[in-house]
Amino acid sequence: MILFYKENRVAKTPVDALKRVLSHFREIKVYGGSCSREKVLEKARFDADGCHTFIYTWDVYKTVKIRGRILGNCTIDYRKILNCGLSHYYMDGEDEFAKTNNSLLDAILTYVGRLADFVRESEIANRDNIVSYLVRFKDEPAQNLEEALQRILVINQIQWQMGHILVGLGRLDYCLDGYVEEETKAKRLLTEFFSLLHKYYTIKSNALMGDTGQIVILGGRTEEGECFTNNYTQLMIETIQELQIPDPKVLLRVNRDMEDAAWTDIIHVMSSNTGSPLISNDDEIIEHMVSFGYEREDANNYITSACWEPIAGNCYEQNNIISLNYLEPFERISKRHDLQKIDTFDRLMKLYYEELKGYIESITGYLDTLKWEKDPLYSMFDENARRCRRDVSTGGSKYNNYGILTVAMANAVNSLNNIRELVFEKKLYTYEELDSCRRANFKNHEAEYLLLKNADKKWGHDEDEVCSFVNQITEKTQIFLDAYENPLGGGVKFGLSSPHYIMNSVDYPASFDGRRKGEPFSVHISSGEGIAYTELMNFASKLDYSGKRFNGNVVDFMVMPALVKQNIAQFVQLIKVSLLQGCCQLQANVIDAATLILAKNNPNDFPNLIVRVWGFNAYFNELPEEYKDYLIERARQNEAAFN
Amino acid sequence: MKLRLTSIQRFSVHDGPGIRTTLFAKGCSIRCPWCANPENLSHEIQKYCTESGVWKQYGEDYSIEQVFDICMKDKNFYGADGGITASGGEALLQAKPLAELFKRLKEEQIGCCLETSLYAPEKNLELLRNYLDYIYVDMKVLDEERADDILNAPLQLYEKNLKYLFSAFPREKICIRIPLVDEMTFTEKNINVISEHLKNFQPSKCEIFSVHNLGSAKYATLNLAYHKFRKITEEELLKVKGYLQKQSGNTCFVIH
Repeated sequence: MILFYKENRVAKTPVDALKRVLSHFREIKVYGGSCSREKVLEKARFDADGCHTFIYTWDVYKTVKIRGRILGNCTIDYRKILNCGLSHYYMDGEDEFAKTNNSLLDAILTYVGRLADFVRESEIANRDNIVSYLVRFKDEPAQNLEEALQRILVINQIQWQMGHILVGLGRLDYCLDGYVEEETKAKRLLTEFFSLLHKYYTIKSNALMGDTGQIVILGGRTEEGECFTNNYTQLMIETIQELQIPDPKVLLRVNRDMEDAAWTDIIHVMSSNTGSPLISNDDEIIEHMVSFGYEREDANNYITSACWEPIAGNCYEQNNIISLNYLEPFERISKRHDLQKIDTFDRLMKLYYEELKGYIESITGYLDTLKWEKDPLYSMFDENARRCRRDVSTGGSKYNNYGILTVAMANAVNSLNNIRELVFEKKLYTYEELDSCRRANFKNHEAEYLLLKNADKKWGHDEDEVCSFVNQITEKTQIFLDAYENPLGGGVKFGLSSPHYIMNSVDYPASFDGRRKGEPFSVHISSGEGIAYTELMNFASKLDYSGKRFNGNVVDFMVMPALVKQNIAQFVQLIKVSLLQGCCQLQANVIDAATLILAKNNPNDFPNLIVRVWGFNAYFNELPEEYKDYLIERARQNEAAFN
Repeated sequence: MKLRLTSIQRFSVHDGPGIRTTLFAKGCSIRCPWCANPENLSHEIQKYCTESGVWKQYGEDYSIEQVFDICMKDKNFYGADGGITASGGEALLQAKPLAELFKRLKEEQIGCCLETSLYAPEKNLELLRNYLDYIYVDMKVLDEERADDILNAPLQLYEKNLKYLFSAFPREKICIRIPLVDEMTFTEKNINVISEHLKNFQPSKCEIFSVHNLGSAKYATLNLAYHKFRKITEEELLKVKGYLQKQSGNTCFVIH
């Protein structure tokens, strides 16, 4: 079913998708029971499509039966795997953890041996070297860039083969530091490396085409806190940019110590419109992680889950489990309270917080029910899990926090402001009357709809009053989450970004900000019509991301290509100052509405048009229509600020 | 003392160096038929109805304090190059409150720029003299037989102010902007006169551009007749650029 679902997203018709899946029907096998992982590794078949210098292969028709939820959005620490052979991961002892570990490791080594045999018999140009790399994988460290990249590819493909989703790539420039290679050759190797990672794009894509989780983290700081970049940082950005493919995507960690030339390079890359890089501000994020409870060296070495949620390197925290919807308290108020008694704004806010608290309790209740699939693979590579001989799925990692996301904060803030003005200041309606219009989806209430829709939207404006109002709501959120300890022994964190601004808005009732039923929620920290970039950035800078609030806070903006290309210095200044002022993360779509409309109407003329969706890049043509329309609408709103 | 503005545009990148906040003054002393901002012509506050039926108004009176506070919001973004640009309409017509504002901004080390047609009393320019870091000056219709009629203003005033400007400010602070409009500014005779002026005054920089036709919706809200002009081609722009550079020795840029 999953294969059909994924194939159907790119097939011309559902029948074509079905035919494609059925043509492989005999190969499809789901392995359950004990040693299911070992069986998959034993039976997985290999292919050499697209392989010249490396082998990269995943038998998408063989998988492990997943009973609970499998850990996703994770990145194995590739550095250790490069520095020692796989046999290093064998464990002494007869306990269950060690036995499971050693059994899986046996299977991996057998799998790598089979892979070497396959390559030996293949026509792959670089087969002799690949075979020697695979043989050396057991006991030797990787000696050069080519061998290191091959090793990463093998470990990567094993994760996909085990049924993991959204498999990250980690700090690639950092983990390859020390491998000296001539630039032309390095670029050639990286080009094939990234192309191969793109090989199973359709099947790797999760919620939408492009949502693969293949995120490359570049730049940043060393564990000791030194500013880090090397030759591979820029080379990888360039290579991905030149490939003009949406995936893998780049997250670039930046800090105040970076040189001006590096900022200019970033803006040039952004202006090429491949959706990358997402810019992540170390100066803010590391400090928030430390005050949350991460050790500084782990915070310095942070990576992110599939999109933007910061996570300590070398652990397997689940960071994007569910989205909290800030409009939900309004629904609860409607259902549970006597609306006639809401006679002051303070009374409304009291009820809003009361219902937010109840709603959060239902979310934490849900978190308690989660059962994670045992994960001997990730446990094998987790130092802490090995030390305490406890699977990462049951809390074996050094950090075991849960991350949740939030949607519709902008809609909620604008709603509350509209209510304050129309109900309690101008007294044009009672709360009950306005709520009744909303619940009717404004049917026969067009005047009220226009009044709400055309009201000055407060979200995104850099007024102290607005920012402190948002901070007050997030402060309450973290207070309500304060006592929660998840079943793995960790806490919970959240942020103002989410992939669910369309998924969770389908059929969701209308809201007081003039949003009709089913219309999308606002995206991350973004602005509506007529708000200048500087204003949005000031607004985002004044939001409080401390405490539990650092789990992804992305300022998401649209830019007309000509504007950024003709004003590189101004955009350097904009981004640099925004980050210095306290913005956590930034991403942009450098595209104009006219191009998007043309591409929607004439998809064949724009086969390679790439856009940024919630935290990944995708071909515009492959997106569902509602995502295309929302991007067009947002581009139009952005352009209105300049006309 | 108030400033009457139609809008305050933050993150403005077309009205001077760096990141700027541009103040669009309401009220103008000339009537360019190609004007893209007709809401800035009259000094009076004008009410209008949007397409969605909402009543709004062009123009609002701001205290100096209010404008100063808005300008200060982006202080960190201005850096060494950016700052505030007074545009319009004709910002010089509100020179007194503008001088007050610029004085305060200069105390904060924020750069101040003026975009002007120079159709304003000379004393107004004097009022701003101490505060301006950069000045954009329009060069439109200089053909004395047609200027007064097309712009509905005396060319003499412009010429006088232009002389004053170049005597009061170093040429490095002055950029000439030439909108090319078919049969208006884009005539052989007018280009020749412009060329003579450039040769005489030697500004540091000269920008030429074709006017766009983006203002039609605003004309409709004001019940004003809208004149559409042929877009000057890239080839024509480059030809004028080459000619002006050769004749005057000035550095010219085509901007879009």
